[in-house]
Amino acid sequence: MSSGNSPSAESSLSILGLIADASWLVQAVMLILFLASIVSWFMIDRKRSSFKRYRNIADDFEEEFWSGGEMSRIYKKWSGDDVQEGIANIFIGGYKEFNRLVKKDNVNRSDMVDGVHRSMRVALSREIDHLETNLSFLATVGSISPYVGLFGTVWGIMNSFIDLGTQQQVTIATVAPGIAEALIATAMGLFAAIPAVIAYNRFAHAAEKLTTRYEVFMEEFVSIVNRQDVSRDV
Amino acid sequence: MRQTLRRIFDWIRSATFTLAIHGLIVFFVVFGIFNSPEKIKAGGKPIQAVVVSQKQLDDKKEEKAQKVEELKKKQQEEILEQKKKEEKKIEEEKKKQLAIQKKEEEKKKAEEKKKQEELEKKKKEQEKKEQEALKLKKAEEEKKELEKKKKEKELEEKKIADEKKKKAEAEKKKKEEAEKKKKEEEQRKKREEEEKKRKEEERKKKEAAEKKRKEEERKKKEAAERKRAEDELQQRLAAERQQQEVAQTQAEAANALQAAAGRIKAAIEDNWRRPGTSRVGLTTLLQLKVAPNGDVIRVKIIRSSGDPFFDQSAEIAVKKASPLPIPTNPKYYEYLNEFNIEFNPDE
Repeated sequence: MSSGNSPSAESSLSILGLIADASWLVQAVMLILFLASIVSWFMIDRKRSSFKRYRNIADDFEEEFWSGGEMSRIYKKWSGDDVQEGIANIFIGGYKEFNRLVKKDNVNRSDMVDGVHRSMRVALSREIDHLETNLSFLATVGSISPYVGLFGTVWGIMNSFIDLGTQQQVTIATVAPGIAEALIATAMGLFAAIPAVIAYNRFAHAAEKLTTRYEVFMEEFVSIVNRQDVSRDV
Repeated sequence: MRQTLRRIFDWIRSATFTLAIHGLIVFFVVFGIFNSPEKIKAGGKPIQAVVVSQKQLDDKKEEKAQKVEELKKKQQEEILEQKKKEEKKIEEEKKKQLAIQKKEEEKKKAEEKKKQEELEKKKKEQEKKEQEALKLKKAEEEKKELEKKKKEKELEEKKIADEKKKKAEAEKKKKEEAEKKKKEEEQRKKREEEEKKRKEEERKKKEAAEKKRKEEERKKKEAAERKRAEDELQQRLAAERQQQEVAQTQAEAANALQAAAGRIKAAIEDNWRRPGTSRVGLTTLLQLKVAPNGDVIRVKIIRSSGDPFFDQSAEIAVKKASPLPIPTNPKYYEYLNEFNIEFNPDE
């Protein structure tokens, strides 16, 4: 193999030179992959920061909620426009419904619990939707870009073999640049895919964890409502 | 409101982060950090290293050396002869000049003698004149005394005597004046002569100086010319020496290559696999271009064996055998970065 890379054309065996020499289709593939990489990294950073924010909100809210303050005060504090996110949204959905039902007279306990539970579920599913936005894009990039890169490679190698067929004397130097240029497409595909897959797995796991946390909170809140209702009935 | 602001800020931050990462990667790619294989720069003129026997080479070398030696000797002899001739010339000229000087000196001496004699003569004449004058004076005094005696006796006689005396005095005066004139004339002549002589001498001096100057100029010119000729010779010799050195290095490189030929062939044959269809005893002539460490840069088939599979197998074997055990002396590389090798595995 040692002789494989040295005897070829001494002019432009740099990566940039190979990219410039590639056929237009391979170049298009490379461009797509590069853009995919850019967008996926952008998404990764956005997701990272939003998950961090959701976690922080959940931590703060739960600490405050379980420290035993007044419900109405907590509601006032967390219903502001700038904090109404994540777990707070679920609480607000439940508490609003609870207040509305309490004002009505002919509401029995199970109806009230059901109503609160339903409205909280709506809020929960909205939050889950927030958590999972763009995750599908990362999944797509992670699974598709290797194939796109492979397509570019296959196309490039195909072309270089077609060229080869017309030549009498075939040396490694005539084959190498075409294959090298085609392989760059695969490299770029992997380059885009690997971070996307890693990020997808991480964020899917984080979303699941947060979802569980929201559900647990929801159940706890419903049980509190149930208890309060019972105490009022008595 | 605050939430949207924060969102925009987040968005910008993410975009910056992403673009920074990709910009960094593109930068690395452009400046070839991932592109490690160093390129081999093959410099120098390739030579077709043909195997030549050592004896022939030596003969050639000796011939060349002899030629150079002869040329050197000839030129040195020429220079020596020229020098001798010039020395002779100079000596002759010196002798001539000495003779001229002697003659001039003799002339001068003779002239001086003449002058002195003339002066002495003049002196004697003057002395004579003075003596005469003294004598005259004495006679006059005697006369006066006689006249005085006569005066007392006769006034008339006295008067006559007075008149006579006056006459004599006038005559004397005349004589003296004539002498004076004569003297002055002589002095003038002498001065003129001296002046003439002086002028002559100056002229001679000037001529001599001129001659000397011309001589010196000529000498200088000759010396410069000689120096130039010598320099030229030196340069020619140096050029020839360099040429000789290059030829010698070339020959050494060829020898080293010949010495390594066995090893190179063995290395290639070790990596050779006989194509199934080829006859036994095929021969192909390959031209190799190698890097200083023996890496094969290019293989070219100069003379095909007639069997393309055999040719290709030879080519592949050479590439597999890379790096080849070529002579590693970097001095030789310039002359053997391209050489031919005959591939005949069955002999």
